[in-house]
Amino acid sequence: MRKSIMILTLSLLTITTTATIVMAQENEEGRRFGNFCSSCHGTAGAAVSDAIPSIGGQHKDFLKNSMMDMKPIVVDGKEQAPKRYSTLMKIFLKGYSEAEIEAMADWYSSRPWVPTSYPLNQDLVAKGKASTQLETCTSCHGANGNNVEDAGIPRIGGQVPTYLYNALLEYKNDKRMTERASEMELVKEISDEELKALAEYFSSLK
Amino acid sequence: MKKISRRSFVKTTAVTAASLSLFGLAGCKKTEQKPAATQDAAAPVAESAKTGHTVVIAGGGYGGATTAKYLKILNPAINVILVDRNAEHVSCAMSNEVIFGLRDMSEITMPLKRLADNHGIDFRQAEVTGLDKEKKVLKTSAGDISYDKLVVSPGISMDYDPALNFTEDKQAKYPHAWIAGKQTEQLRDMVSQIKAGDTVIFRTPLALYRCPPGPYERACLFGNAALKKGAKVIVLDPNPQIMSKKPLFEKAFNTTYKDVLTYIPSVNVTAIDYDKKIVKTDKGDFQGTLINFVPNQKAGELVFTLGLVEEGKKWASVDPKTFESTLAKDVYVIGDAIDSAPVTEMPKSGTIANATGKVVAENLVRIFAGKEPLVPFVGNTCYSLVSETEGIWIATLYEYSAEKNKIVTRNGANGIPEAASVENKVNGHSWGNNILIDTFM
Repeated sequence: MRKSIMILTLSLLTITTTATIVMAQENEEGRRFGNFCSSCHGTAGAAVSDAIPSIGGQHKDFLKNSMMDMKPIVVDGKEQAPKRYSTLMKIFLKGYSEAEIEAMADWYSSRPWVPTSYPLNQDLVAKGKASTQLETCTSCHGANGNNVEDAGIPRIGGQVPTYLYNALLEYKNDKRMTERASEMELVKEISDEELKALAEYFSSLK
Repeated sequence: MKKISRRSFVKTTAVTAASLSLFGLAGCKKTEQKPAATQDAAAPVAESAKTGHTVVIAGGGYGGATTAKYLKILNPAINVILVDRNAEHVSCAMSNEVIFGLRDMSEITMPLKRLADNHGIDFRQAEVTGLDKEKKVLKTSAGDISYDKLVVSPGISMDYDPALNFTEDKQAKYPHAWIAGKQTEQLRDMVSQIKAGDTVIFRTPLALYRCPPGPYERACLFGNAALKKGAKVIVLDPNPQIMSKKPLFEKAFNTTYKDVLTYIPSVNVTAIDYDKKIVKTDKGDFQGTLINFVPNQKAGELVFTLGLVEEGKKWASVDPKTFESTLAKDVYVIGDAIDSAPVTEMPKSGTIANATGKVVAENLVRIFAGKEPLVPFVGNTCYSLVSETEGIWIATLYEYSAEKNKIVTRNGANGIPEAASVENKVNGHSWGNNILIDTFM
């Protein structure tokens, strides 16, 4: 069974990766500093699996802020805990300057956004769509999960599902103490189960 | 739980997902835009299209496949020919998961024709037989191939100790499974037969070898199998200590597997009695029911065939600024095969082969466009399992240092987690899927 699923998944991916094309006007410096990131985040930042986020085509300010917030800051020679929780991103970001992070955010945000083709749990998608909390999300993120008016708000429509759910839990459990975290305070009122359904629903958007 | 439910959905959602992802890309025009890598050098691109620069890549593993794909992404006008003796590459990364039944073999088996078709690469399944450095011709069983630049990425081969009489013919019964493929399946089948009272003897390779944490991941997974089946594991390590992610593997050995796994460092195997399944060492004899002996290693045979290894060395010497061979102009060697110790702190890992493939691709495109190549800037991520449920990782950022003429850790960006976790296992699984696609699709 696993075999046939992998083959199916791979044939889907052929379609997406073949079409992952280099677009005009690239920030070459950003590409140079960030090219290796695609081994985890997917070619040009289009992730194919479920837990590591797609970053290609993500809003630029959100990308930059995310990286700056995960980067450990040194005060009086002592490394401070970053504002935003991460596993290994804090290690990599230690190695970059703010200007380099800016360049990477510029390059990745200029890549095409490829909505996830990861197989979703359709029951959860339906549950998320029917959630009374849906409007809580769409009022800022937009009905399609892509509010283009504010580049500091992440694009979540078509983002990979496990990452989205984990991100919500991180806000809920005060693991993302970022400048705009207060805007996500309302997730504390929503059950984990409902957050999971909402995450799955937004993953399903194209 | 979640994974199972997702899997059950795959079949029904496949068609929908495929059509939707096409729509999702509709805004991105495929052929009308200029390859952006050379956007500010439009003339040289046209030139290269006219003169038809040819890059030949020997070896379709993580290094070669990535180089081929990224050359085509950056400048489709370059003629890219990929040569490999096999029709598909089986990933060594994640092959421990296959051995212990945690992934299917098909998930790590990557057809090279699919990669070629996706990106307009000319794939030729052939044996490489020689090199004419002066005429810039790679000789293969499918004929001579002329190149402007040659990239060689053959991985590793085994450096057998004649005293042990452990050679290719022994591997039908004693697969090392350190180069993924048939042996991965052989060892998987042997592992599935482990029963109560059995003893596994696992000999790790002496550094330098492919995948520094790989032996200790395999040791943990042998430990996990032993726990489940009531068996024991003896790990014989010729190295003085655990060579990667040490505190994390040490913790797993000393806690999770303390009752079933014995780790012995600095031990030298002196003989193997294949009939009685006894491994003789300078610290005593060990009898087992399953022997997994992983030999010491050297560069893939190909770099020896092509004359890219300096006298008396086991790995191919390269210039750390460019990965160009010290023995042949316009020939680049990347991946596990390079003589890494003098020129870099980078490990022999699939991620490094992938990342350096991107660096070489980028630089060849620059050189063809009349620009100076840039010095290497790469990162390494490597996840390992310490059990079926928990994972760990190592992360390092590297850059070329002119002062040391070496590729070194950048700004202290190097680390491992404080502890193994389920989250790290889940992320590791995603990393595996993403790097396979980034490299082979």
